[in-house]
This record gives sequence, structure tokens and C-alpha cells, in this order.
Amino acid sequence: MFDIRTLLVLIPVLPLLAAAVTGFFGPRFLRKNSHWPCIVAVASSCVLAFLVLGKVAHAEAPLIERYYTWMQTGSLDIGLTLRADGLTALMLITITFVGSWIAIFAVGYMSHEREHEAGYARFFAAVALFVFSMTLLVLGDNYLVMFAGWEGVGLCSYLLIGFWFQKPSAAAAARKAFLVTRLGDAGMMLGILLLWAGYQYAHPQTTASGINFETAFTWASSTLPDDTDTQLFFGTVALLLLCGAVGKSAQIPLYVWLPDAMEGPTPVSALIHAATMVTAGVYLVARSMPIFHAAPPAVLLTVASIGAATALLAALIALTQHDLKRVLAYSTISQIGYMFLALGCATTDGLVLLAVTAAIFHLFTHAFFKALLFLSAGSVMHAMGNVIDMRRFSGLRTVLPTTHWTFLCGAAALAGVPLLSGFWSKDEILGAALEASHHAYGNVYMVLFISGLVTAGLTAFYTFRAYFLTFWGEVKVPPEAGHHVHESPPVMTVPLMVLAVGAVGLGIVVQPFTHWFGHLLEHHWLNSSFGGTIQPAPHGFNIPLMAGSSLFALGGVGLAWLMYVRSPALPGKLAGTMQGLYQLSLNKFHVDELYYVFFVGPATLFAGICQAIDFLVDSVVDLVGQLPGLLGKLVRPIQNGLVQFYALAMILGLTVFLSALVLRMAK
Amino acid sequence: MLMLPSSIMGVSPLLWPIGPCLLLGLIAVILLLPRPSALPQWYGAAFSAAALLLGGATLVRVGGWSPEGVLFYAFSGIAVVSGGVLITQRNPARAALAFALVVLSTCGLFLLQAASFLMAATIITYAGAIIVTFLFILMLAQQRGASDADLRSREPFLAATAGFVLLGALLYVLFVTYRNPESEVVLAALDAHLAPAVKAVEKPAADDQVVKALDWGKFFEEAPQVVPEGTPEPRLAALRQSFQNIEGDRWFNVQLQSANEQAKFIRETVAEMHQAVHVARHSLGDLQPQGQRLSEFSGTKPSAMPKFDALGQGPMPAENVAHLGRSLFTDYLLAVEMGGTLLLVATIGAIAIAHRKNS
Amino acid sequence: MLSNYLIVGAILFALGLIGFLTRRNLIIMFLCAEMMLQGVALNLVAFARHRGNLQGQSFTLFIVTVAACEAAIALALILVLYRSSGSLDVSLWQEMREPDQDATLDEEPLPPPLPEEPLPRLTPAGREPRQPEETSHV
Repeated sequence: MFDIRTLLVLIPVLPLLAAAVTGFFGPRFLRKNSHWPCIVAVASSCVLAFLVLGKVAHAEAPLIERYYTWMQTGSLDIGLTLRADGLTALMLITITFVGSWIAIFAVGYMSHEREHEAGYARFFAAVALFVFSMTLLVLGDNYLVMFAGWEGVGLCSYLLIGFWFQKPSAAAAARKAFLVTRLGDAGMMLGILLLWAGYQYAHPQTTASGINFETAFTWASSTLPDDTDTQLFFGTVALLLLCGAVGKSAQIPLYVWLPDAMEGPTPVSALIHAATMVTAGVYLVARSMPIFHAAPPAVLLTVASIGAATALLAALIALTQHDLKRVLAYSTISQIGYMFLALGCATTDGLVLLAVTAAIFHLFTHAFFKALLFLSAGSVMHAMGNVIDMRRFSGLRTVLPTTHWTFLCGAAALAGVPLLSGFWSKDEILGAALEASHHAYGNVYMVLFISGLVTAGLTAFYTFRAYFLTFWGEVKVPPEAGHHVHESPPVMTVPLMVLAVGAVGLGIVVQPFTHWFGHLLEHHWLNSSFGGTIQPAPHGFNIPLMAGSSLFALGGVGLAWLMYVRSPALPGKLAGTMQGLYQLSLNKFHVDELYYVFFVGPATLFAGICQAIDFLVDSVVDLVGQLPGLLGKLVRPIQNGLVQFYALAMILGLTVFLSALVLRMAK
Repeated sequence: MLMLPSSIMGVSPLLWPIGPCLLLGLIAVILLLPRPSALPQWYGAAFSAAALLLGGATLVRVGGWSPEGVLFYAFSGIAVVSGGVLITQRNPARAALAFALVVLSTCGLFLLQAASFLMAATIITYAGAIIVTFLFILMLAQQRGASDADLRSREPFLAATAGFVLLGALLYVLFVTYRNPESEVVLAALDAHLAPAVKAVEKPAADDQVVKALDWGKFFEEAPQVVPEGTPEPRLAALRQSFQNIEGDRWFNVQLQSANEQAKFIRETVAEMHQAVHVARHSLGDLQPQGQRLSEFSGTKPSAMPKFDALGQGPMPAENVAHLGRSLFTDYLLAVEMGGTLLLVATIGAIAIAHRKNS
Repeated sequence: MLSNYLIVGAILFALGLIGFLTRRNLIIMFLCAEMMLQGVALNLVAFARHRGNLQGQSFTLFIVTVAACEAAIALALILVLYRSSGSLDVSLWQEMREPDQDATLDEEPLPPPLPEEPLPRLTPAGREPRQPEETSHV
């Protein structure tokens, strides 16, 4: 139907058009129908994304189309180039498919906003703009285009977290998210520039640019094993890129923005802060895997350690939170930590495909079940009158039957209950970690593997803690909900059901038996990125590992049932006996406070000093600025408004000038 | 016309004759400009009469009494006097009539300069249309004659000084260019040098008599010496150069030939030199654009030197309108179209501006 | 002689300039500007005669054209100004001065107007009609 050139450019452009139309005409003309452009565009992009997947599956090489020369100076030649390979196609489908259903859900969820239409249009314009930026991010064929999309999603995240900007906490959360991710972005920018400059340095005669994926990856994968200088260079680039990934994907130490980001509307939390944008860091590392692979193994170990530590820490914090959305937010951080753990396991040639497949597979399934969980939480919020504290409601399974079932599906998938999608992807990650422990830094990887296993158990526990607290026990409804608590309308429940089906069944369909995922990445990503230099190791089921992880998951679920259904007094007693640990977890290990003391405080002090210096400089500049004013006061009476006086002044000037000329002539 | 004492003239034309005329004119204008506490008008009138007489005698050079000279004096005198009346008259209606006189006398000057069509066009446009419309506005706005504002001037001293200093600069440049005493001395010396030769050549005489009438070798040799070397005036420098060529190259060859040939050469060369001096006298200060591609539709090409008559004027066609038309519709076709468009736009603009809007 | 005409043109120009700078009646200012144009036109015509070339006359024709346009627009503007202020005095329009500047006012008082000469009267002729007694001695 479409050639690939049109297809690729349409995927980002349709949402962009929708954003423009909604942004410019929404508040005035579309009003209560402002959601239509966004939904239509994102759904069309989804269809196109499936077409792209089809084309990619039949193509020999990655599909690369150059549309426009962005900048060209000297050896710097950056094109607006889009690229589609297996990785991109999977990301596109995740983004647009989940995005479409979330956009539909938002029509119901944002129904209060329809009353004042400007906000309604603003919401959908920002969502469409987000889909544009995100698709551009995954489609870009060089780091600069990717960075443009990267910053675009950051902007949309800022706009949507601060959607209710009248609330001071929302405005502060938006600012925090933007600034914290900016910290990482600065490192990423440095990494991109370093890559470009380094390529210029190593290849002085070339006209190619090091920030193009092809060029950089070919160089990286042709690095010789004994070329330590180049390896160190790639290590530096990889660490700088990792800064960006850590910031955007909310990993230690930059994860603090994500829990606060829950101030945004829940569909936004589902789309941006669970399913898509926060996984951009995972995509970045997966995409740059040749560079990470060319770097010394310690770099990948860093990735894996960050991931495992984040996963464990976030899971521990999630154990005690009372806010349903916050539990899910910490869970997101934890799950992304899992993905980083998987990516960090690509220490040998044979493990690369295994690790990346595991990470992207988990990204894929996580997008479904986490979006589902957030949307279900949103549905609960909708019914409870925006109350989200789990201590204030319970026993909702009779009140909100559909939401209850879909939440249960998501929770089971997240917990890793056997045969659901989360089980398979988590299992792949643990398998990859276990494989990595047979190679370099094996002992460390063994520790990471065990912590991953523990995290799996914790995940199951906190997920089902939230589930039991919300849906079981006696029926309790907060007064904000009103008298007639009712299930959400179909526009909200249908997306829930669709995503629930995905969360339950998608995992088993696409990977463990059919290996669609692995084959797609192997044939359409691995060879093109590494130039065919590495062969994937054969991989089969690890039955003992599966059994072990199932045991941890089911154990966590059982413990949650024991503590919150069977004997609800137990958690209180337990918290009493382990007061210190409980408080530590409840207060998020005081990380925010630590950051405040060690980073924000000095920064404030420094800003104060700068302000004082600025005041000094300003005073001097102002003093100089006063001089023309004084001079002006002196000659001001010349401006008396009389036309003839002005003409006289002109003629006098002309006279003086001419007289000078004539007198010079006379000499 | 006063004979100028060469000692004064040598200093600077600003001291004589421009300076005194302008000083008198400045005093006259300052005295005559409307002010609440003005001296009686006849003081100013006396000064202006003195300035006019002195200026007419010293600034203008007609060169003997001729109908053109008389008409020039008449028209320019009326133009300047009514210009003065225009700027000093307190009653705006009378000022407008004085302007009409300025226009009419300027048109007389146009006619003297062979611009008959322009004369007609200017009279019709200015005297016929503009003045009448202005008088109409005056009648509408200011029916009581001079208003308070008409009895005052803004900065009369400064403005008059500025205007006269500007005029002095202009006149100085004109004098230095066209009446430069040094150039005139050189030209007179050239005339004196050429006079016997012209006389010898003009006489109908046999060829050998012509050859013997003067020491031609000395004549040709001395001719370039008359023009001082390094003269700043480019025309005179060119003249010197051409005389040097005659002496150096041509006369040397002719000397050895027969008397007939020599006489023929002498006649031609003397006539040529005579003409060259004539042209140089009348083209002092002329700028000469270079280039071959200049149009001939408007008369003599700007890059070519016209054939000056005795008064120093180029040939002008008698059919002024026909030739002006040819010039306008060839060289200036685009400008004519633009001018027409401008008129249309101005008409629309004037209507739009002056239209009384219903409040 | 070329220079004579140039001198007359220069004098007309200078006079027009002085008038434009000093006179405060909008119409006289405008006439002075036209007189400056006349001086320039005279120069051009004289140059044309001197060089035997009609270009100067063509230029003058364009000057006349532009002057006509200018006159039309200026008249319209003067009319508008007159309508809004009721006077032709250009010094009334000085609002564009610096904001804290005082307006420039005429301080020197005008001399008292001369007593109007009595209108000429016809000397009575013929027989005087009879008047009522009360007013007969006037």
C-alpha cells in the first residue's frame, strides 16, 4: 500500500499533525472533541507500525531512509534519517499500540476536564506530541535525531506531569522531573559529541560522521581485542550515554523524579512513566549495544549493577507505600532495573542476543501489564473520587468487578505467576544473569542474579499487597467517591480488557515457544548492528531456574495473602517489631533528604554566592548604564516636538558639513 | 558690470564678490522676517535693494547688452524679489501670489533656456492648479488675513544664517568652478597668443604669405607653455597636452614639405586650436561621463562634447515638444509609467486622506 | 551663460529653505518647499541647455509630476490638520516631544492691532429725509 519511505515518515508525522491541529484549533473549534485527532493519528500510526514490522521481517538489511539534510558543514553531515530494523519495529508497536488504548482510556478518565475545553485539548495535544517524539526517538538513524526525540519526550513529560499546574506539588514535580533528567541528558550530549569527535580523530580522512549509527557501530564492532585505547574510549562514551539512560529511565542515582511524576493524570503515568518514555534508556543502551560491547566489561557490569541495585531498592521501598500509584511507580523503577540488569549481562559475544532479547522482551511485556495496572489504578481513582490512599478504601472487588479482574491480571503478570507474560520475560532476564555468571566477573553476576531472584519475590509480595488491600477485605469507600460508586464506563473498561488479554497471553505467544522475538532481533538487528561478527549462543529452557523463580513469585503472593487477607493484624505487629526497617522503607530510605542535604543544599549555597556576585556585576553595569541616561537628560530639550526645529537642526548640520568641505577646498 | 580689482579677486571669491552680497541679503532677510517687534519695513527693503543691486552687478555676468541679457535680468530679478516677498510677507494670500510670480518668472527663464514645453507645463501645474488650490484652502481656513502665527517666525536669525551660509557654499563652488580667476588668466593669455595667428590665417592670402606671416615653429612651441604646468583644472591640462602633441609630432613632419602643404596644415591646426580654446572656456567644470553605450535619443550624447556657440551653449532642437517626447518615451519610458502610477496613487491617497469621515 | 542660471537657482533654493525653516503657516511652508524645487528645476534646465541635451528637461518634467503629487497629498494633510486644530499654525503640532518637556510657547507679546481704518462712506447727497425728532441730532 505504502512504500517504506512514506510509511516511516508517516508514523511520527501523523501524531505531530494531530498535536498541531489539537494545539491550534482544539481550544477554539474542536472543544469537547479534541481527543479525536490524537486517537485517530496514534491508531493510524499503530497500523502503520504493524506494516513496518511486516516489511522489516521480509527485509534483508535495515530499512534506512534519508529525508532531509539537517546540517552539513565540513565533515559533519547530519541527515534527518529514519531507520527501521527489528528493535525499532518492536518499540514502535509497543508505543503506538499501548498508546492508542491509553488515549482511548483517557477520554473517559479526563471527562472532568471536558468542562473547560482548553485543558482537554492541551492534554491530547501533549499526548500526540509525546507519541511523535517517542516514535522519532526510536526511528532516528543517528544520535542527533534520536536526541531530538529524547528531548521531545522530556518536554512532553514535563508538560503532562505539570498538567494541573495550579497545584504547587504538580508544578514542583514537573520541574523536578525535568531538571533531574536534564542532568543525565547533559552526560548523554557529551557522549554524543565525544563519539563524533573521537571518530574524526581516529579517521581523519573520512567524510562519514561518527554519530551515524552505521558508522559508529561498524567502528565499534571492528575494534580489536588488544586495542585498549579504543576500548577505553568506547567505555567513556558508553558511560556518558549511560548517564542519559539512567536519568530518563529513573535508575539509581537519578530515580527520584519518577515517584513524584505520579502527580500527572493517570493515563500519562501509564503511557509515559510506565510503558514508554521511561524505557527510552533501555532502548538507548540496547541500540548502543555495539559500543557497550566494545567497551571494557566493567562498563557492562556497571549497567547490570545499577539495574540490580535499583530493582532491589525500589522493591524494598514499594513494600510499605500506602499510595497505590506510588507502589506502581516504584514497581516501574524496579522493573526497569531488571531490564538494565539484563542489558548488563551481554559480556560475551554469545550473550549479546540473549541479553538484549531478554531486556526488550521484558520491556514489551512490562509495557502491557504496567500500563494495565496504572489504568486499573486510574479506574479505581476515578471511582473513588481521586482518592488513591489504600488505607481509605478496601474490598472493591464487588464494587468494581471489571477493574478488579483486569487489575488481578496485571498484578499476576507483574508478580511473575507462571505462564503469564511477566513470568516468561523475567525468567529470560534471570537466565541471562545466570549465564553471565559463567564469564567475566562471574561472582558479581552471581550476586546480581540472587538479588534479582529476591526482587522477584518482593515484587510478587508488594503487588499482591496492593491488590489485597484494594480489592479484598470489608467494603470501605471514602466520602469523596459520593453515594453511588459505580464501575467505569466502557470507554475505560474496554482498553483495560484489551490490555489484560495482552498482559496475560502475549508473553507466551511471542517468545518462549515461537521465539518470534528472538528471531526478529537476531535476523534484523544483531547482524546489522555488529556487522555479522558475532554468533548468538544456543538457548533453551532452564527448568530449575523456572521452578525457582516460580517458587519465589508464588511465595510472595502467598505471603501477601497470609498477611493481608488471612490475618490482617500481622503487618502491624511486624512493623512494630521491625520499626527501624519499616520506617526506612516507608521514608524511601531517606534518599530524597540525602539528595537535599548533599546536592540541593550546596547548590543553593552556590547559587546564593553567584547571586551576590551577580548583584555586584549588575550594580557596575547599571552604573555604566546610567551614563547615557544622564547624557540624555542634558540633550533632551532638543526633542521639543517642533518640526521646523528638527529641520533647522538638519540644515545646520548640513551647513557645517558643507562649510568644512568648502573651506578645505579653498586652502 | 563692475571690473573686479584683481588684488581682491585673487584672495577668495568669498571676500569679494559673494561675501558682501550675502551679508546684505542676510541682514535684509532677518529684518524683513515677521516678528512681533520688528523694525520698520523700509530698513529691510533698503538692505535688500542694496543686496540685489550689488549681486546683480557682481555675481551675474552677461557679457554685453543683448536681448537675452536684459530678459535674464528682468526674469531673475522678479524671481528673486518675489521669492523674498514670499518668505517675508505676513499675509499668506499675498505670499501665495508672490509664489505665482516666482513661478511665472522662472518659466520666463525656462523659455530663455529653450524649454518651451516645460514653461507651459509649469505654468499650468503650479500657477494654474497648485496656487489656485492653495488659495482656495487659504480662503477656507484663514479668512481674516494674517493670523497670530503669521506675525511670528521660528528662529529667524539661526535659520537665515544657515540658509545664507549654505548659499555661500554653493556660490563659492560655482565661482571656483566657472569663474576661477586663474583659469580666466590662462584663457586670456591663450587668446592673446592665438590672436595674431588667427588674424594671419583669416586673411585671404597666398599660401607662402601665410607660412611667412609668423614664426610658426616658435608659435607652436610656445603654445603649450602658455598653460602653466600642473594646473588643477582638467580641461586646461588636456588643452596643454593637445598643444604639445601638435608641436612635438605633427609640425616637425610638415616643416619639410611644400608651402601648400604647410599652409594647409597651419590653417587647419590654428582653426583646431582656436576651437579647442573655445570649447575649454565653456566646458570648465563639466563632468564628462565615460562609456560608449549612452543614448542619443535625448540629444547630444552625455559622453560627447557639444558644439558650443558663442554664448557657451550646446545646440538645441527647435521642436522642443517633439524631441522631449522622444526622450521621454525612449530613455525614460519606465519612469514615465512610474510617474503616471504615482499620480494615480497620490490622487487616491489625497481623496482618502481628505475625505470627511462620519464620526 | 550656465553659471548665471545656476546662481539664480541657488538663490531661489536658499530663500525657499529659509522660508521653510522660519515661517509657521503650513501653506507658506509648503510654498517655500515648492520654491526650492523651482530652484532645482532651473538648474536642470540650464544644464540641459548648456549640454544641448534634453535629459535635464525630462528630469524637470518628473519634478513637476512629483510636485503635483506632493501638492495633492500635502493639501489633503493640511486640510485634515486644519480640521482637527482649527488653525494652520504648524507649531500647534508638537505633541511628539519628550514626555517631560514643556510645550514651546510664544512669549513675546504681539503689538496691539492697529486701529481699523474707518470704512469709506458715501457723502450724503440730495435732500435729507425727515427724521423723528428724538434722533434727529445724531
